[in-house]
Amino acid sequence: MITCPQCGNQNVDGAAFCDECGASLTGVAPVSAPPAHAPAPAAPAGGVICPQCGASNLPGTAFCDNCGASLTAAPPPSPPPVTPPPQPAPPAGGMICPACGASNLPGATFCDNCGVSLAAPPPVTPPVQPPPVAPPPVGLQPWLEVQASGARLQIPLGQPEVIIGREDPVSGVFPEIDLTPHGGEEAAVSRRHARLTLQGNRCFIEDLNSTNYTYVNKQKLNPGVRQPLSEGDEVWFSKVKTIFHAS
Amino acid sequence: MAGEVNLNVSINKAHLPVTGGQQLSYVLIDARPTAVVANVQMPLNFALVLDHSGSMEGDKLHSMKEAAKIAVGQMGPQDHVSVIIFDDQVTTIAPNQPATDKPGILHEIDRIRARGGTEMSKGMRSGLDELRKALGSDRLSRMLVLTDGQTFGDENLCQQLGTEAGAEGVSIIALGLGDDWNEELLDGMAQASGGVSDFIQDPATITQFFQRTVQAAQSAVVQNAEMVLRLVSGVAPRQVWQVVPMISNLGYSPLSDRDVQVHLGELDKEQGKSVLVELLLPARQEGRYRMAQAEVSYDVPTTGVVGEKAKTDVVISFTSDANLSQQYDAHVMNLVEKVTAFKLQTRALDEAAAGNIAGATQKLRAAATRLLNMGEAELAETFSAEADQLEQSGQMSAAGTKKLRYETRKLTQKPPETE
Repeated sequence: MITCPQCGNQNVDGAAFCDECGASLTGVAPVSAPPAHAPAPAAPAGGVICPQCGASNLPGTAFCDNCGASLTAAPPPSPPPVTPPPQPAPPAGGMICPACGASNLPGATFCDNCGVSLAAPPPVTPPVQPPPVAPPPVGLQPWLEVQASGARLQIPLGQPEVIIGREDPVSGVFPEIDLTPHGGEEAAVSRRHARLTLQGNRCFIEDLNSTNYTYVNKQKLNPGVRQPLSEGDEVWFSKVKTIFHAS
Repeated sequence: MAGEVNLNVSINKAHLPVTGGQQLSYVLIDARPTAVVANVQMPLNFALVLDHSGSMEGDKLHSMKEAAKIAVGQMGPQDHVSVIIFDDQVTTIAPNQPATDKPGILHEIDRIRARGGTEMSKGMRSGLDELRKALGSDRLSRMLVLTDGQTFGDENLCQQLGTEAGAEGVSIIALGLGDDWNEELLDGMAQASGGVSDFIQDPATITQFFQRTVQAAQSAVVQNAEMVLRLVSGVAPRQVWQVVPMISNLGYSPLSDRDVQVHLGELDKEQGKSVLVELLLPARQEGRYRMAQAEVSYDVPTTGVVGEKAKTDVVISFTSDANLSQQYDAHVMNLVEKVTAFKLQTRALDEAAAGNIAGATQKLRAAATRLLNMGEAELAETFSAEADQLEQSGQMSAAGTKKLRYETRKLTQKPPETE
C-alpha cells in the first residue's frame, strides 16, 4: 500500500495518483514548504467580474456566462479577501479543518476535503479591510429570519441536504423550507432555489441555478458553488430577504 | 478484443495558477475509433421517408430523386433499404429489402411525382413499419425524413413517433428543405430518437446531405458508448458539451456523489465524438494531480465486441509561476469560444420566443462579436441582421432563425482560424 504524502489516503501499490486527492505518487517528495507567496483566502465568493456587463463569473471562466465577452484578455482581479475564522491550535499529529472538521496531516496548507486554507492569516495587511466574521458556533441550531415578517424558519439538522424553494404539488416539488408563505411566489423564487448543507459546525449555501438568483450580503452566488454562512449574514432568495442565525 | 477506441485528453491550460480557491477548467476528451476497426462497416436498416407534396414541384423534386438514387447506390447487399413517399397520403414504393435489386428501386424513385398536402406522421409511421421488419443490434436502423413544409394537424403525433422510434433503436435524421418547415418539430423528433436534424438551403445540395447521412451510418461501427467521469473529492462538473461532430449540450447524470455519466451513443470511424467538460476544481498546491478519470464503455456489434472499455486520466498541473499559468491550448480555447457562441445563440432564440426582445438582441449581438473574432464573418453578419430585425420589428425572420440554429451547431465542422 502506498500512503499519499498529501492526504494520507492508502492507495494500491503501483498507483500513479492518489485516488482521494489526485496527488502524484511517483516518488515525488511531499510538498512541505508553503507556497512562495502569501496564500490567498480560499473563499469562493466574488470571482471574476466581467468588464463588459459586470456579471460575476467563476474564476477560470474563459467567456462571461451572461454576455459572452472574453474574460481572458485582462488578468482577473484578485478575489476580495475574507478573513478565515481564528484557527484552533492544531492537536499533535494533525490539523482539524475549522471549516468542515476534516482531519489533515501536519503542515497541510489546504484542507484536503474542502480546500480551505489552513495556514495562519498572512502578517501583511490585506489591501481591502475585510468585514469581521464570527467564529463558528458550537452547538449549531441554525435558522433563517424572514426580515419582512420576523418569521423563524428552522433549518432541520440531521438531513444530508435542505432545499429552499417554492412548493409545487403539480410537479411534485416539496422543498424542506418553503418560501411560498413569505412572498416566494411574488418574488418568483424557483421551486428548487437553493440548497443548505451542514458540515462540521458550519452551514453552507449553494444556489441551484435559480431563475432570480441567491445573494449573500448583496453578492450574487454562482450556481453550484458552496458558500459558508455566518451569524448575521443577509441571504436573499430572489427578493425575499432573510438573515442567517447560527442559534 | 480491445483498443477499438482511443481516448485523448487536453486541458485549456497546460498549467493552472495556484489561487487557493476554486477555479473552472475546460477539459476536452476525444473518443476516436482506431485503426483496429478501419475496415469494419456497419450494416444498415435504412428507410428513406420523402416528402413529395405539391410544393416540392420542380427543382426540389428533381434534386431529391437524384439524391435518393445516389443514396440507394451507396448501399450494399448487407444493407436493408426501404423507400416511402408521403404527402397527405403515404405510399411505400419500395418495402424493406436487402439492397440487391437496385434497378428496381431506382425505377420506383424515378416515378415519383409531386402532388398533395403534407402529413408527415403518415410517412413516419410507414417508415417505422418497414424498419421494424429488420430491427436488430447487429444492424444500424435509421430513418431519413425530408420535408419542405409545415405538416398539418399532426405535429404532436410526429413528436410521439420520434420518441417511439428512439425506444426501438431507430434514430431519425430529419432534414428540412427551404424556409417553410418547423425547425422546433424536426429538432424535437430527431432528438427524441437520438438522431439529428439539419437544414438544406439549396436543393442542389440535397445529394451531398443524403450521401453524408448514408456514409456516416455505415461508419458508425462503435455503438452504445457511455462515458463515466470519476471525479476526485471536491471536483464538480458544471456543463458537458458535445463539440464533435456537432455542438450540443449533452448534460450528465450523477451516478454517485463522485461519478457522473455522459451518454455518447454511436462513434463513427471518421470523427468519433469529442466532449468538452467544464470542471470546477478545488484548490490545490503546486504540482500535478489526477483530478478525474474518464472511462468509455462501448460495443462493436459487427465484430461481436460487447462492453469493452477505454480509460484515460485527466491530469491537471498547478503552478505558482505566473508566466506558465498564462499559456493556453489554442485548440481547446477555440472550441470553448465556439461553445460560447452556441450558448448565446440558443439562449437568444429562447428569449426571443419568451418575448424578451432586449435580452435576445443583446445575446445575438454578443454572438456576432464572438463569431467575428473566430473569423466567421458571414454567420456574424446573419446574427447582426437578425438582431436589427428583432429590434425594429419585434420578430426574427424564418430563414434567418434557421440559419442561426443550424450553422452555429456546425461551427466545429469547419477548420478553426489559426491565430
